[in-house]
Amino acid sequence: MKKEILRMENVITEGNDMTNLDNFNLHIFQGEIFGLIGINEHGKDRLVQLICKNIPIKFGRIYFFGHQVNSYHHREEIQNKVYLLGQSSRLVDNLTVTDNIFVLRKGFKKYCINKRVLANQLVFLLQDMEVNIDPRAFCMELTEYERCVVEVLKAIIQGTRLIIVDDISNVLSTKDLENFKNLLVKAAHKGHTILYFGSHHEEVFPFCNRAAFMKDGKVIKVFDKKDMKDENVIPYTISFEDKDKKIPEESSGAIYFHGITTQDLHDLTFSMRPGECVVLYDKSKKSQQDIISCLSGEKELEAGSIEINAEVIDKKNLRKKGKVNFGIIGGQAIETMLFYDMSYIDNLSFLLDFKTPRITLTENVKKSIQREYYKELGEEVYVTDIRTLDKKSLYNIIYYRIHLLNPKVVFIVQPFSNADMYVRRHIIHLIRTLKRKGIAVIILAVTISDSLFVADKLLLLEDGTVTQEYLPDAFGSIEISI
Amino acid sequence: MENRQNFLRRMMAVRGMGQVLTVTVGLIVLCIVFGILNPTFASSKNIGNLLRQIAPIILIGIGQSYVLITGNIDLSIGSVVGMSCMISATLMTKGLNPWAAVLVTIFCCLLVGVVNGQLVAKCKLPPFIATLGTMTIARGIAQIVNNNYNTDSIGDAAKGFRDFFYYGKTLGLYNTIWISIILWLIFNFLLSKTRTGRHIYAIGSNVEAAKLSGVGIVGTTTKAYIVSAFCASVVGLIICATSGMGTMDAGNMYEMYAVAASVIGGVSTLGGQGILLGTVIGAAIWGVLQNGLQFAGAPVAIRNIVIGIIVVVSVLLDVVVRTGKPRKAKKG
Repeated sequence: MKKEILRMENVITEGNDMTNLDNFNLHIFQGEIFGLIGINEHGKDRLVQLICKNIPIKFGRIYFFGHQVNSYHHREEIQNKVYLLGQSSRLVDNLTVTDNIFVLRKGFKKYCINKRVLANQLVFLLQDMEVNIDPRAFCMELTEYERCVVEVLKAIIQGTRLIIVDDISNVLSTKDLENFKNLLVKAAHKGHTILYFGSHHEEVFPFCNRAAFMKDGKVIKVFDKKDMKDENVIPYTISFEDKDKKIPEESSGAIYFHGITTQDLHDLTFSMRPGECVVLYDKSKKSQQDIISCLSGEKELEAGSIEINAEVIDKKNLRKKGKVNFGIIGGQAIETMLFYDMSYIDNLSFLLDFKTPRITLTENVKKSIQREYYKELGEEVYVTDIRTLDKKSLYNIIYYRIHLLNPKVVFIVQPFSNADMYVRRHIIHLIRTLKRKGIAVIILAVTISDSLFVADKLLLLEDGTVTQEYLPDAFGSIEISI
Repeated sequence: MENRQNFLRRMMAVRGMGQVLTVTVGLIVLCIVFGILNPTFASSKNIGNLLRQIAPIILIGIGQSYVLITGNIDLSIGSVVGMSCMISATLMTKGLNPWAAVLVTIFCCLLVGVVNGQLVAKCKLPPFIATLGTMTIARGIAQIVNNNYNTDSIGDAAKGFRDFFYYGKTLGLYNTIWISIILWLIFNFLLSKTRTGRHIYAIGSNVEAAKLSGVGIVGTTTKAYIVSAFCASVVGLIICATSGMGTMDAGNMYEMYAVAASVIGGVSTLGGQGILLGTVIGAAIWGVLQNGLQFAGAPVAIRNIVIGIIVVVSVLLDVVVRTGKPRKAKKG
């Protein structure tokens, strides 16, 4: 008989003046990997909170490991034995792997620590899970993959009943994600239970025992292993197709990247037209940071040049000319690209500073920008506190800032990370808007599925060089890996 | 009427203005209370002296505000005041033309600003540690320039210098006050109306976003520290002109006064927020408290305790407001 780990019955929660979870039902058994795919993010954070600690609910019942821990009239004031593995580390960076796994846990009673004994114990554990990590390594030295593995081991040693893996596909490369999924499968075979949050069914289906779609705080469909097929998913997804195909087919001018060489890129050469979108797909994730560091002036370009309309940009003038010709949208854009202490219009017009010879933008210029963008963005252009905006509006600021700057090329790092299906569709719309304006878009991706909706070309990078080039006709032949 | 409403709306749209208005109300209340406790407080002579007392605090407050808005802190500001005072006085007593001494002094102080900026932004040292180091170094320089002695009187040759920085009056106001007003106007313009100012706010608000947007982090942070050092050097010159000599402990505790003026006036210690009008009000509150409590017969210790409490409460309020303010989510 299957042993139940988590059961949530008709759970309704409220917060921020709205219903988060709406008649939510979930049933997870020991030793299974349950995938949860959010069509939108509504209620997801509250669900995670609710599973970890028994916060008040308005209606329903929650059972954890066979015991009722929370209901509308009574809740246990304890934390459930759950480990949350997310995008940011929960390890202490300045302590070793062994210390993090064995010493920093509630049940560790010994006063004197014998490092050798603990290290030997960890070696057995690592061998058992078929992973290779130095037990004496400091956690700050670990790669993201190793960090995730160590957190899983820590969860196992702590004796947690349920491990929640929250959207980690953005921090791991394709290869690392595959390895990590294999590790989770091994853990599940040993009786550990995993709740895996993902944003794509392609990511979740291959290794989960069961999966569910979640929308507006409800589970709208549960898939058993045999139902996990692409055609069964169609009724629950939304279309990303372009309704307004006015992207210029043949734009004049060309942008050439000649032999771009950095620490991790070797002789990267390709060309693109204005308004075209090229996806640089690097499974190893190494080149991304390298390109961004060079563009933001942290590192120097080792060799190569970029030619835009006969203007050559190389390492000597990259910093100066790059400000006007290139735009950057960093990964996790909501966190890394906005100034929350500035108003909407100040955020929107931030990059214009580099284009105007004036020492500052006058209020009249800002008003003119507000009037111009009112048609597309609506009342939000007049907002003074952008913290009050929803995700779509925040993405509007980031992408329309580039639209306003009108650079020749914009580099976008993993644009679809941390975005639910509706937000992803909006981002696709925004990228298409940039393309329509004639801005060349380069997407730096470690996952490609959504990128293909806007891509005109995909370059596969391995060891810093282009090994394969795909045009839209051949996109179907690419093995989608998320 | 409509113009007035537009002006008010524009004024209130300035981020941080609400806090400044709140603090201004507090200042008015303090003035009324101290005026009632001792009518001498409200005399024209005392107000003139009070303004002269506040002027240097406004200046170092401006410098500290620049640095705080970038999300850093300058603990060396008080020592740079001392260094400025000692260098200028020593050079003048050695017979150098006072105005040449002023230039040399300002140059030396700006070097400290450059070093601070580079240590913090380029070498990525924690600003607290970096400026603690330069604080000690600058104080050491202040002590060493005249072989561990205060200087003699800078003499009659420096009369023009002393009149310019302290004793002279223009249009009925002491020059010290005019210096503060003019520097405030310049630095307020620089901060609120120029690209550099916006970059300073951007770094304090989200350094990653600023970097990806092409803002030179090292250059902009260094500029903020240079402004801080410049303001400190001017204050040092004012002290030199006031006392007519160089004193090694000039500017002692001024880093505390600078932070007090800034944070009371609404400049965030977390960076990205604050306006220089607030710094003026913050400095005024500091001055009024010092002066008013003195008139009320409170000992120095009580004055320090009161000001310390106000600073801690101001920072606490800022931290609570900024970190406790959840992002209103439309869904989820």
